[in-house]
Amino acid sequence: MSPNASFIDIQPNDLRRTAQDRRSFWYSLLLAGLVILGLGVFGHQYGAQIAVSGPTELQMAWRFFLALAPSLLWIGLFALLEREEGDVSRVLLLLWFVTAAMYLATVHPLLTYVFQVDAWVRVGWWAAIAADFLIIGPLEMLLVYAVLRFGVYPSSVFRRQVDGPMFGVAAALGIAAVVGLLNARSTNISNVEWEFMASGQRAMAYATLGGWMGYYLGQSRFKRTPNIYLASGFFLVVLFHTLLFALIQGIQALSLFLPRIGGFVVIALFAWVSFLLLARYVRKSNRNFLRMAARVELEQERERPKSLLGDVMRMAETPEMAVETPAPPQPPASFSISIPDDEDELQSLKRSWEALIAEQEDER
Amino acid sequence: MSSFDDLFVDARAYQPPNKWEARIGNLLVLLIAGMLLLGGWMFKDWMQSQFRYLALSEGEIAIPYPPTWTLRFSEAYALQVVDPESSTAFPARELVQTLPLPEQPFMADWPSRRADTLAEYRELERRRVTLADGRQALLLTYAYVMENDGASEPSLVAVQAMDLVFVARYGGEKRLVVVTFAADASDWDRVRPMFQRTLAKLGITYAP
Repeated sequence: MSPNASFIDIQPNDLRRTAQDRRSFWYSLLLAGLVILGLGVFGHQYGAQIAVSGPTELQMAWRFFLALAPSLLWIGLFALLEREEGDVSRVLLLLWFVTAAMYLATVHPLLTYVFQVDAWVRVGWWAAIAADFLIIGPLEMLLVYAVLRFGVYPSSVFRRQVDGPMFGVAAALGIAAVVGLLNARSTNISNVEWEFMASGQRAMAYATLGGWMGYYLGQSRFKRTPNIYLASGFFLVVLFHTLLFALIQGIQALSLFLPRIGGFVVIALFAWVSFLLLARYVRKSNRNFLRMAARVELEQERERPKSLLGDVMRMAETPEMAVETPAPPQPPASFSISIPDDEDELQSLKRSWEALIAEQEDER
Repeated sequence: MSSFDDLFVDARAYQPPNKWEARIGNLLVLLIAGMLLLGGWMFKDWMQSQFRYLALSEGEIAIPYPPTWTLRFSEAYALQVVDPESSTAFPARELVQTLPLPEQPFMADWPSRRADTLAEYRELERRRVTLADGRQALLLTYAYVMENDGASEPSLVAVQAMDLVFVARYGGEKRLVVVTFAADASDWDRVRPMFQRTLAKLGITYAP
């Protein structure tokens, strides 16, 4: 297919709509990240002084709150900042909830009962990395992919390129919330300092991964990418998952030598750099779409069939059309018979017949 | 576009994929995920067949135990490892005892000794098995009740256990080796596969 042939089918306004950014997404991420960072630092400084005393139920409620807080904080901030399209906030909340429920129903039982990861993953650091790359990463990212691909991808709510990372972050935060809740239920740690940082760290890591998965889906939603594009993106995100959680575990292993906030700050920096890159890529892609819209408009102008009426008017004005038409040839002299006006048709026919006979006799 | 995109994306194709292109994209993602998970399944199988061993004596049979379980030192046992994942009052455990050889054949003697020492003892199954090197052994499955000392209020725990009993050389003399796999009865189904894998590693075959 020649490039010009495809330009006819593309609507520049569609490209421009796809390339619209959503500042509320980036601002809400920035604000939520700053609040989580601030709470982590606060927890590190004053967490030891905040004693969650009281019944076990109160401590459990506190842990549940900390597990859910980062995701709900981001979705709430987004809903406040997004004034143009209110339905997007509802979709984000729905995605977050559906992913969390799907994780509980599918990924968690698979990890616990089918792969029995907990039974062997603690053999060594290499086992943890292999388990993440071969089992945990693929299962979690496949869930994010499936929820986005079969949830929002075919719908009209996915209308901009930036929507990919945004929906990806919402889905991945659903996983972060459930993992936090499961940890809160299974462990007896009531260390406020640690829980502030652990929930923030987890949320930032999963949001980063979801953002990238959504980015690749967003690219393939609006462009005709090669078939291998999404699969390659998925593989890269799984690889990223492995590296990120290996980094978290490595920092935890070094917690005897490093301050506890060190790991939290490293993950925050990692997430910060990752989202900066993501924003840059989305912006670059948006610019490409805008450039393409302008180019398509030019091409379509050039290729557009001209108006028929305009053509006729222009032809009429051209000097070539002013040439006089030649006069019809004169009839031979023998046929030039003057016919009186008052003669009827029969008489005229009779006279013509006689003239014809006379002519034939002359020829003989 | 990013350099990664540049590698793959045709810059002219600014159109959404058609239905079949989207389906092929899905299938390839599933293929990649499936291949990784297949690798994960094989890795899990390999990891589950990894054990640490308690060597009884040179040239003697070695007792396998799960590498992730926590070692606890006790004078009463040659080995005591506890499952750190157990959340019950009586965590799953594997114990190895070496006892003087009884005067009577251990196949008949050991169940009666268990019945004498354990409260509310119930024998569930008694089987004669053969170890990998051909020596005879007894596999005894039973349940009993014990007091939970660790709890703030005294409580009773129903324990299910399995003893593999055989004669082996230990410390230069022949002794009765008892390998015990025990867990809270409510946790038994979860840890039983691990116990079965340990027994399989010992190469036991059930006598007809």
